[in-house]
Amino acid sequence: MLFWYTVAVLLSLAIFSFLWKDNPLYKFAEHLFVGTMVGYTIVMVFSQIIMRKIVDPITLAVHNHQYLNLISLIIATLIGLLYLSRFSQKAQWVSRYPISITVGFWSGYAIVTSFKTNILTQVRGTVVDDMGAPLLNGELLGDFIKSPSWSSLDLAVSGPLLVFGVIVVLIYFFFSIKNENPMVRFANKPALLYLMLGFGASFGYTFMGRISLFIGRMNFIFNEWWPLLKQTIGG
Amino acid sequence: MKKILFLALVVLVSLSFAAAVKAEEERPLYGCELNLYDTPNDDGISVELEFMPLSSPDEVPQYGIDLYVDGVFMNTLTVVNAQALFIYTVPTDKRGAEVRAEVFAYDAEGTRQGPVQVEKAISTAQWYYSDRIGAFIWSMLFIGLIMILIGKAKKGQDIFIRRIAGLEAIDDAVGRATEMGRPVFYIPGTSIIDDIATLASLNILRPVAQQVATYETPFSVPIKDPVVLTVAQDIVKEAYMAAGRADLHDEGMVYLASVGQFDYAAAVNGAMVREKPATVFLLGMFWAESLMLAETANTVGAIQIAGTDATSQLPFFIAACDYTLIGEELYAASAYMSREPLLLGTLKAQDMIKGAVIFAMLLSLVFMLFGIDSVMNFFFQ
Repeated sequence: MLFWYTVAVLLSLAIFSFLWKDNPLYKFAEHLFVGTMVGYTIVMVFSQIIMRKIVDPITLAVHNHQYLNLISLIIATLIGLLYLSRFSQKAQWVSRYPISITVGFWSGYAIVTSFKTNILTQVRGTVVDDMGAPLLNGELLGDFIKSPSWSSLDLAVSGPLLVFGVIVVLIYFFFSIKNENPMVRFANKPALLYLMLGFGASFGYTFMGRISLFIGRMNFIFNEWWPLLKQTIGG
Repeated sequence: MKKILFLALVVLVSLSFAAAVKAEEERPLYGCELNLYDTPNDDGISVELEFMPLSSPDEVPQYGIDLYVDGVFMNTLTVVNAQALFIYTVPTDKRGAEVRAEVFAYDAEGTRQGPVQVEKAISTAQWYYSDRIGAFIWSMLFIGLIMILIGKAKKGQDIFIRRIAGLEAIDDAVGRATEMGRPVFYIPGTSIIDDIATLASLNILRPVAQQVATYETPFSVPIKDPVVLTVAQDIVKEAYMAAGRADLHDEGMVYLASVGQFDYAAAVNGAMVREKPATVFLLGMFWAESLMLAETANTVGAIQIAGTDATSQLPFFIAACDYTLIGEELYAASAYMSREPLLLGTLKAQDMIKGAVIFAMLLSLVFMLFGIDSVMNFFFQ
């Protein structure tokens, strides 16, 4: 166990050495990483795709006399095999067929799903909140005017700010309207402000996630490997 | 008049009392409401069961529901009487299966009584997912607009696209690499070919490769996905031929760096440090490797032009790169550079749909101010 832990620590340190400069240790770790990953992927593709998605279903279809299913599996496999035409100079154009089928299928498949999840649900979330209450809510503004407080202000303005932000950012991403257009000129600065505020928050959030990954690695070195090393050497 | 009203009132009250007493008399001892119906919007492989206990928990502390699929006993559901609605999805694993549910009541002594109610339902498949009608209408509108506008673009009608800052810098960036005698790196993201960002990036790859070929600048395109590799190889080859510099084309320019996320990042970082590119394009879909690539490019002194629709990675590109194409600008860039009618028409249609969405959203918001949600439900179902 100590041996493999030590290998993990040394490889971690070899990767971290890139922060200093490119060096033979980093090159070794990089090549080992890439080689291992390629080998692992080949095994995974064989066991999870070739065996599980092709060989096993075909065998099962033959066994169960499901010939329609068998035909569809064989057709799909043959289309997939067309990729291998890349190895022939003369026939490599054939590899465009599986690519066009894949891209065409996914593009079509994604249209309605994208509309539902990325547009309709998002826009609905700009009109009403999760509880179904409207984001532009005159009552909340009235509550704030009657009894001003930070919480009532937050409730009153967060909805309108969200609605305004969505609209100006949408206008910012109009590409077929000239920059001189008054609507675009009006929306540009607030849209950029909204975008940068969003990106800033996202940056901080993700950065903290990365720091926790680094802490995890240090934790492995100092709290797992080092005590194990001391214990083993100490007998 | 008053007497008549008084008499009517007395009659009404008496009738209500009588009805209540009759209802009490008719109320079954082990009362419950069982509703069994085919699951809507599914593939016909399940049935929905709704059960509401009506007896008091003192009378019937627990119910049991025996489930049969095509006459074969499946299992028993135990429902503790909390006087609350119990919902369960009965899986049938095949279409057209008849599900039968028999409710039994367990009295205070634990004796099983019944069946007190029996219901049946058949699982059937639906041809259309009715919750998607809104998305279907919007999609049809969008597709229709695209078809019309592509037709117009093909006929030669000029479709205006505003200037995008990052794209103006491409000439300078490639020129810089030429002057410095160092290579240009083009990273088309780390996603697969089906990703829209990858397709947009591959559309930009062609004009960039053409420019690189014209300037006779060394070019390197490390790829993560094997299918993207095949497409990118063809694009770069065609671009070199279009630039009239097929002699400069080398198959090794576009290569598979690695197939995993971080090993790809390690491989490309290593290549950047060794080859010291003057210009790095990071256009496409990226995940956590975005900052690693952008920072390494910055360390070797390269000018970076980045673009992605991954909102979580955009902050890193904005912080670390010289120019960043934000979200949809990446798609617009491919139309702007290629001037293909297909892309121009799509971009114009996108703008029109965005306008329609803003209009529908504002209309919904106004109606919601008056408590009317039907407009919102109509547009954004």
